[in-house]
Amino acid sequence: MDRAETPRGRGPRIAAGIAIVGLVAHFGLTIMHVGPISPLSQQLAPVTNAWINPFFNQNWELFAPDPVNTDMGLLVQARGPDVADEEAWVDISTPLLERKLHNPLPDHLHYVVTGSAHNFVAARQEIIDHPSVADQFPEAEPFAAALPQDVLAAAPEDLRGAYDFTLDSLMSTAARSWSEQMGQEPTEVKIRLVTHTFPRWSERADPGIGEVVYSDLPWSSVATVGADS
Amino acid sequence: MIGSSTVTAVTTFFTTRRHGQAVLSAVRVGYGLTTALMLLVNLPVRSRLWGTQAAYDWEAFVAGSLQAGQPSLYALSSSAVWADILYFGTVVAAILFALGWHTRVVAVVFFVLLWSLHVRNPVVTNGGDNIMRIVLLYMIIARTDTFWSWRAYRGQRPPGRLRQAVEPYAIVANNVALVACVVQVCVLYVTSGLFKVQGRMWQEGTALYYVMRTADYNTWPELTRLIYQWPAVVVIATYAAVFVQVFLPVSLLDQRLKRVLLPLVLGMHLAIGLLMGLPYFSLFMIVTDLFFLRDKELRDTLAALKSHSRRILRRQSPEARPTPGPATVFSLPGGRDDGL
Repeated sequence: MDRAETPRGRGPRIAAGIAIVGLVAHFGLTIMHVGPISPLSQQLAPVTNAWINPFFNQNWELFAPDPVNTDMGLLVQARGPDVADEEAWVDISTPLLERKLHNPLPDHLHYVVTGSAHNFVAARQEIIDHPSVADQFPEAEPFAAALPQDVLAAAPEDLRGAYDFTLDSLMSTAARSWSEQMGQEPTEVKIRLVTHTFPRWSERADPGIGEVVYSDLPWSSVATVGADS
Repeated sequence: MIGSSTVTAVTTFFTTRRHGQAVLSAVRVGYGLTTALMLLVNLPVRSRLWGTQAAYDWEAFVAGSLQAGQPSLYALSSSAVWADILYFGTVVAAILFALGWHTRVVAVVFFVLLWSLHVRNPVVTNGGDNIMRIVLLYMIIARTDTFWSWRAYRGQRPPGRLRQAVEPYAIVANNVALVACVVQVCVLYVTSGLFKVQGRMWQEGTALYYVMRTADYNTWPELTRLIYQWPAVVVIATYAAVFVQVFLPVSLLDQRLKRVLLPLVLGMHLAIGLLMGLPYFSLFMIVTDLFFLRDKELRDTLAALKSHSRRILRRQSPEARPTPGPATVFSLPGGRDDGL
């Protein structure tokens, strides 16, 4: 053990020195990447992005700055020669949540539906909040669930891409869940986003369920879902 | 400013021997088993998560991952068979990684497969997957199979000449990787804590109420309803979560603080795993928290747990040992109970 505790020769010591510099640089850039925007992080952004992406990409805003505090559900209407009831709104979220209820080892399936819905709503909100859109539509009424073309046109291309991508994924997810649940093949689906704001802290003892808001996306053909990527 | 003794101490730390061998081995086993468990639970629904029925249609996924510069083996073919080969390959790699079989090669294969899986469907990954795959990347250049592994079971073969020549550098690589893992976990906690400090619900001490009532995370509504009746419980737990996250890294410098904060963070992750239906996130985080322990602390804890659980087993089944030996006498109720 005595021999093992003796510092090694010059080579390993130089290697250790280089590695320490590397560690400082790597975690410096990591902190620039995960932290809030600062003059330094903006200045270093090109280097940070090149180094961090894709393998060191990370996000630690876990339940922050505020935790998720609304539930999002999906109701789906379907059309097609195989569809028995074209008027029925089918709840595709509740069965997935019920699989998870009282289950200590749940599978990930419920994430597919809620995650797709949250991603779409987030991509939509990012467009609405973008300065170029906010400048052009300052006093606008609340937009429809599917953003109007002129609003989309005002947004930068990457945000539009993310919006289309998340919308496509939401549509195909809804169509698959509907078809799995009903055992029928739809050719068109229509999604109703259900945003449930459960009672806030001060109303926590209320027997009511809080506030529910519905917003509908237009009919979308299942055949074209995801095809125009 | 930095004395030569500091420089010597630092170079000695990095160059003389491999540190954190028990911790790195335990993390390897924990990551491998948790991943295998998560994948096997999702076996029946794998096609909707990572296969032909995934949230992102294959064409959209390929276009998206190309644009984001995120390579994935799932982009090589759209067939269900290929997706299944990768899925089962990941299960096998996770198990072999846990077993410590040809660990270095398996670690690389495991990382590539896991990365590909995460890129295929980012909707189903969370912070636990994120920290695990980054730490896994650092672990590739560490030695993670000194304990609880096929290598340890089989015994070491005498090193060849090349291995002897590389050995001093392999030691440096191991220690750099260990430091990287520890710093990475500190970055996670401090960032996560400081982002929470900025949120109104965390400031008001009600954040955990909202988390507990969100349908996605409310696995046991009967239980959470009981918990959030008590403002004191919600507020104290909310504040504690933030304080523990911000100050956990300081516990690396102070043993007394560690004895308080580490059990708290363990409790926090157990509660998340049990109450919020996030068992895999919880397990990944608990395993990752091991980086706050020194080797000796981990081994002492394991030894204490082992003797403790033996005692409990003996107490519960006295008929299993019809002729109690001297060791059993000590563990009878009212006997010695000093944690040894």
